[in-house]
Amino acid sequence: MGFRSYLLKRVLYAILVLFVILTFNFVLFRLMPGDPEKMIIDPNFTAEAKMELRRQYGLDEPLFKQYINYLSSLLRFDMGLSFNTRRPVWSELKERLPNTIVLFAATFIGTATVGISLGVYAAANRDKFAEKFVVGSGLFAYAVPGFFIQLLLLLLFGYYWPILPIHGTMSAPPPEGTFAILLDRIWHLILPAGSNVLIGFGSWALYTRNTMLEALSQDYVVTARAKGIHRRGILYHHALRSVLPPIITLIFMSLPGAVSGAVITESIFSWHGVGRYLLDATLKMDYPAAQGAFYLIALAVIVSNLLADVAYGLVDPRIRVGAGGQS
Amino acid sequence: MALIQVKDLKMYYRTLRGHVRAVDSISFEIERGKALGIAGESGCGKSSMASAILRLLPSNGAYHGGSIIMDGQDLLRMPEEQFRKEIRWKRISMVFQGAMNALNPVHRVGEQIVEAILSHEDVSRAEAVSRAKELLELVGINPDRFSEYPHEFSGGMKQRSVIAMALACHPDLIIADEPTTALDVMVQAQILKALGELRERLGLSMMLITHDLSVIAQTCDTVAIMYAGKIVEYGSVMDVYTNPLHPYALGLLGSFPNIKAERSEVRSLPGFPPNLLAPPSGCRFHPRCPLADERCRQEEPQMQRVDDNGRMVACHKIDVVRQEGDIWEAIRPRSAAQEERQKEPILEVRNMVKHFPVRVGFLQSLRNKEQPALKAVDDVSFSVYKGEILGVVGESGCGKTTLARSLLRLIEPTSGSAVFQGSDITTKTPDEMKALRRKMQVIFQDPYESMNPRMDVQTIISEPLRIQGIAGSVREAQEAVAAALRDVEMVPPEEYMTRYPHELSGGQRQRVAVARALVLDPDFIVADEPVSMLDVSIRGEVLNLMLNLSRSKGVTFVYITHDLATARHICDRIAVMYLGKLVELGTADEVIGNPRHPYTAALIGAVFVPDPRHRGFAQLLRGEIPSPVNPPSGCRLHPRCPYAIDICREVEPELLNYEGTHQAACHRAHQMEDSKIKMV
Ligand SMILES: Nc1ncnc2c1ncn2[C@@H]1O[C@H](COP(=O)(O)OP(=O)(O)O)[C@@H](O)[C@H]1O
Ligand code: SF4
Ligand code: SF4
Ligand SMILES: [Mg+2]
Repeated sequence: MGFRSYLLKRVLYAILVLFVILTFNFVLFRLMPGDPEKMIIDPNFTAEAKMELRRQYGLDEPLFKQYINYLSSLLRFDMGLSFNTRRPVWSELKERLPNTIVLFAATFIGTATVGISLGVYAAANRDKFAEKFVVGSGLFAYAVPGFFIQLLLLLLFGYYWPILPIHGTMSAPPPEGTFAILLDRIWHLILPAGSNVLIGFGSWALYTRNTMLEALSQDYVVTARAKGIHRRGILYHHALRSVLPPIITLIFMSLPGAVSGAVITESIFSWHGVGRYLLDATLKMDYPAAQGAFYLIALAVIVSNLLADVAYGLVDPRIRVGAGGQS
Repeated sequence: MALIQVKDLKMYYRTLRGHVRAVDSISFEIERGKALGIAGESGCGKSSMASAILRLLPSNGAYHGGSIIMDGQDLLRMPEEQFRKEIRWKRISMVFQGAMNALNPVHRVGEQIVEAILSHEDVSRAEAVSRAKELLELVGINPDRFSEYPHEFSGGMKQRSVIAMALACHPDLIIADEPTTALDVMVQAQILKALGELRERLGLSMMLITHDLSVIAQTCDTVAIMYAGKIVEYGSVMDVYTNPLHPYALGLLGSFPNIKAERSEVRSLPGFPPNLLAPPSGCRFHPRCPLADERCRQEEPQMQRVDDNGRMVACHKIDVVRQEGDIWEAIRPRSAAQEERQKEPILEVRNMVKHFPVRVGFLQSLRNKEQPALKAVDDVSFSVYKGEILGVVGESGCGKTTLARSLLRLIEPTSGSAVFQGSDITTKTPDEMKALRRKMQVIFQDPYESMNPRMDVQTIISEPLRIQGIAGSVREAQEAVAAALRDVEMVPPEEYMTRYPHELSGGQRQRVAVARALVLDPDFIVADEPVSMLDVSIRGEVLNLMLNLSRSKGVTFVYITHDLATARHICDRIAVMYLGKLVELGTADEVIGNPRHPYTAALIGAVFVPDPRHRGFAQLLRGEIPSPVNPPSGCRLHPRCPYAIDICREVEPELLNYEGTHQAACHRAHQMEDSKIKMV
């Protein structure tokens, strides 16, 4: 199968998934308990005022029409006005997006680096204490619920040992100077991102260790040993290189899970991001805001899945070589 | 002065249940430029010994003494770093068992050869690349394919590249562990031929490990027969093959069917090698040895010199063997009288076609209207006669299994009919088919895979009864199971009924598979490569079982195999397939003794004979079997056929009758008598 048609298929598939999710999203928020109109429309309003408000939010249209409006405006990133703040949802999201991206990137780079290195280290030191330690702590981190670890950290750094900021994205008021601002930001990032790494590295380390051990027992690795290749070459050039495709896929595949984690992390550490926004909006039954945030997150998940497919195709020569287009 | 001397080498594996003594006091030497063959059933420690020489033991392996001397140095006492740099690949390289997987799938083939050169020699990358290209050329691969990935290579080409890689640093010794076991006969012959020529040209020594004694007969100078971690007989190939002295060597050699010998018996070696956790006392072979006596059970025989030619044997009773010769009872050959009466067809296959749709690229499928098809079976017709064993032979990928499954309707044929006992099964409803299944059964290649590991033998065998809803009472079912077990000579049945698959040997497992097929008392059984996963020593038992069942119970068999030698010995008739077509059909003697189709002739020529007196390769076909998606025009063999003429490219030859019942589909079949390969 050619790489181009592989790609095209994945893109079409992604669009389909996006459509399904959006539809689901539309239905879901309308099935939620509670009447949103009551939240924004004061019962003391006059009938005209109510109608006017309903019209403003498009709630007077038939459901199907609402659906079409919903789809077409989402595609234009027009997410309507928040019930709550009466500001355009997209502007609110845009303000928070950079914060979320920063937290995400830090979490990801951290988790992947720590997890993969520990996994490789464990595989290279099979049956030694190092391996047992990595496997043990990895399993522990994997098994304990993430929010529990985070709450413990909150307690530790918020109460017993307050050396790190436990909430917010930056100090208020912010310090003077670009460099100081940057440092301040990083300072605030440590706990949320660090706790995410702590929660997430286990599955990475275990997965890397397992695939590495499997690769190390493959005939081609034994052959490499027989060839007299030195230890590092065997570990990195042969074993790690051959398990990269599944690991890279895992990187992207774990993005969706990380999203739900982010909602919790952002809430616990009061991080001014999209995840917290989604949570707040949902609790306040602020449809447009929740839908908008949800849309953004769904988009991120689908794109990351697509990236996973592309990356997989690029790393695994068995998929890549079809690129010539024949057969 | 020998190139390498192994003295008293001992190696074991630590396991939870104790030490597995896989290599137990082994000594041998290899002369410069000579080849030593190591033979024995699987689990005898052959591969362990090979990795022990290269110091590649797994983490639970450990040496327990002995030495490996090369140039006066003991390799086992050399520092690891020095060993890695100076010995591995530079002096001793290795082609591993399952060499198909010896290439890392994510690196280019050529780069993997370059890597070997660069890690041992101080040369520039450019020089290493050009040397790698030369090496590829040397083993018969176009050097332009240097930058391709392993999955773009066919099995034979991968194997060739692995050999090229093994030659990269001009080693003195190549250890080849089952180098061709996974390959088809034709490719196997091509590779071994190439390897032999290279060895001669480069003056290489080789240690060839295989369970296939014919490969050693064709390629080695000396041979060591291993049993349960020890060498039991050692000597020149000529001496050992023509006059084996150890009962195990005698039995193992006897179990090798020889395609070029008179059609006779297929023998087996009863029992199986011991568990090396707790090998038998005294002579480790005594539980299986027909000559064993009290002394054998008590006292371990030592290797002793038996002639001036360097032959060594470890057995207390060499004199008895010398006197009596063949101490193993041969299973009687099939009487000719029985071959006469088989003329009534039980199954008539007419114009059977099975095409599989081919997955194409998504964009492509938008462009082309017509779906390309993989023509696995393409218009095949033949009859199977009552009570006979019909062999269906050919390289893998020629459509044997698909044919078998279509004619049992395990898969839906694309078109054509299969008339079984007078009615066409391709038009039956599912219910009628289910009833018919009582009459037609199938045995698969891998007995382990076709059995649920959590069921005991009794449950496995009675399963078809339950499926058919004819299990009756528990007692009745038990009796049926016992009868089936008796039919497959597993007596007393009670002893086996409550065992689980992992508690059985390979041969026993395959017997259970046969018993499961027999429990419904079928008239017709398709056996798809029933012995190819088994050790050669026990192939005979399963094959003879089929032979006896067809003789005593009149069961008809279709025996699907790539192994012509066994087909010759148990089949009444043989059908040869190539790329979905039937190319030759006739009695076993007609087809093997007087092949009319060049493909059959080449297949026969590629089969190794376990006899060092008859060495050499017949005319082999070029290349490997092409894809059945776009088969060649005209005669499908023409791109590989040494006899092809112009008409072959355009006109597809028909299956025509020659002498007797002998049919062949070749434009030059009438001339084949002159050019037929010489039989022994
Ligand atoms: N890593 C291992 N751990 C424990 N036992 C092993 C290991 N590898 C092989 N064995 C055992 O050692 C014996 C010899 O195996 P092997 O050398 O592979 O024989 P062969 O190559 O003749 O088939 C067998 O009983 C096998 O089960
Ligand atoms: S020593 Fe005894 S048991 Fe062993 S092979 Fe010789 S005769 Fe058989
Ligand atoms: S028909 Fe021609 S190409 Fe085909 S087998 Fe006969 S001689 Fe060879
Ligand atoms: Mg082996």
